[in-house]
Amino acid sequence: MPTEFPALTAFSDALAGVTAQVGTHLVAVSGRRWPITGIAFAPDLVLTAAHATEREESLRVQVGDRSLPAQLVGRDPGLDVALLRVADAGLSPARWATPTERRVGALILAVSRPRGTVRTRLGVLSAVEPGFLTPWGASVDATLQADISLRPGMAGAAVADVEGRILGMYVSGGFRERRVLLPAETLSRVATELLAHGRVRRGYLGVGTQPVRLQGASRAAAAQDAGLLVVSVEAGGPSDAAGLALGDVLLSLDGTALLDIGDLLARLARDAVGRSLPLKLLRGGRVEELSIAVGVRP
Amino acid sequence: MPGPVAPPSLGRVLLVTSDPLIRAGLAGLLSGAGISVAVEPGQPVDVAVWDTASAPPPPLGPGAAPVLALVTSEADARAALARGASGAVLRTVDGATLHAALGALERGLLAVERTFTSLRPAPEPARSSTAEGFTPREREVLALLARGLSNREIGEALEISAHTAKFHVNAILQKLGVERRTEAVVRAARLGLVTL
Repeated sequence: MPTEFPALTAFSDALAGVTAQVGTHLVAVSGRRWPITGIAFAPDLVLTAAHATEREESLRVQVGDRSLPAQLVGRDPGLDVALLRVADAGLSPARWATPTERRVGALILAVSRPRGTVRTRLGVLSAVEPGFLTPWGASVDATLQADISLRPGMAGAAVADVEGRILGMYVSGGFRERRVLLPAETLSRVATELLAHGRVRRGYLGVGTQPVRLQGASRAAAAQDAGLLVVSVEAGGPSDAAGLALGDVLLSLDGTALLDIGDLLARLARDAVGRSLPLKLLRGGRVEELSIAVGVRP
Repeated sequence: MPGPVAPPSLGRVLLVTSDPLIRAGLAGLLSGAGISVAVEPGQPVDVAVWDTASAPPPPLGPGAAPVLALVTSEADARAALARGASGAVLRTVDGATLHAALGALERGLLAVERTFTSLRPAPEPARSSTAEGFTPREREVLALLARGLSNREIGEALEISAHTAKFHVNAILQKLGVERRTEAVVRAARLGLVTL
């Protein structure tokens, strides 16, 4: 029987085809009460949501109709991402979309496979906005908003465009059951870190600070309105080694003005570990600059 | 090992009540236990029983005989103790308990129904060893909380149960005045409680 709406049929077939193709990169991950989805990152590596890997000793991955044991390579609770290694899985690695390939308004599919069979939901990429920092100091490179209605069981689901390129993965982001769509570049960066170090390393100064408003002469000397008042210095930590003292007011780190805690977290979130960075501070009413060797957040 | 202790022998007890039934009942309870009852105020007594529901208080305070208040509620007991009574038991008290309470008072002790929990001093808040009001354990839990760990993971890291970890997390949330873990992390960082 000839189809009555050939364009619609073709469109429908294309969606079904993309769903099936994306599904080939997905596995089911069992490591908690309910299985969730994992995305093939390499032939023997799977990215998934960290909160589902609690039963570290009995992690299993279902690839097609095979159930295989998986080892935890590492996880980042701050972003809710885990990387698993599955020996001899022969996975088909996903294709990741680059930032320039994702377009607001494009059709997207959220494909999951928590129980072996593929599920999908359709929507559009409704917004791409600048990244943000989670309260745990983890950096998300871009805020992707998808108008896909979320249901339980979407953790680890892949969000793909109609070319089958994966834009991101749904996690809980450490926010109480709030789904966050982590962009591909963040996933790739985190996976690389987990492979290299077993965790995502973040810069650490070993200093407790409180944001303070600068006034009068202090403000004039600092040439900024606020800073971070040092209220504790961890013995033997990077700040201790650099000679920071209680009462110092941190003004900037490597040129990044420190007006609030978030500014410090943001600068420490990337490309800081192991580097010596210039630190400007207010001490006794005078601006001083010293160098601090950034450590690794424990 | 010491031998059995002889049951305490009470001296004279003053009954302060205007309720004849209570008076008769108490007198029966006490004389059954071999205690002599002083009926008239003014006679020297060792201890007084005051029925708070039916009579004004007998002399209370230094120099007066200790007074055991018979009460109908915890609130009555609090009022009687506030006026200087040395004990408070429910009006439905049995003979043995009454005898024990009077014996305690005569020996300079206080006697209060154990169920009157509001009359006990509140427990002292746990002493914390840090300036910020957090115990060392709470500081450890806070540091792990700030890394995004679950209760279970915090428990594993500190070798305590997830339940105990949750207890500490709740204490931290309460001390910081927040409801959620994320808020706790942000608040603690801004207070300088978490080192960065």
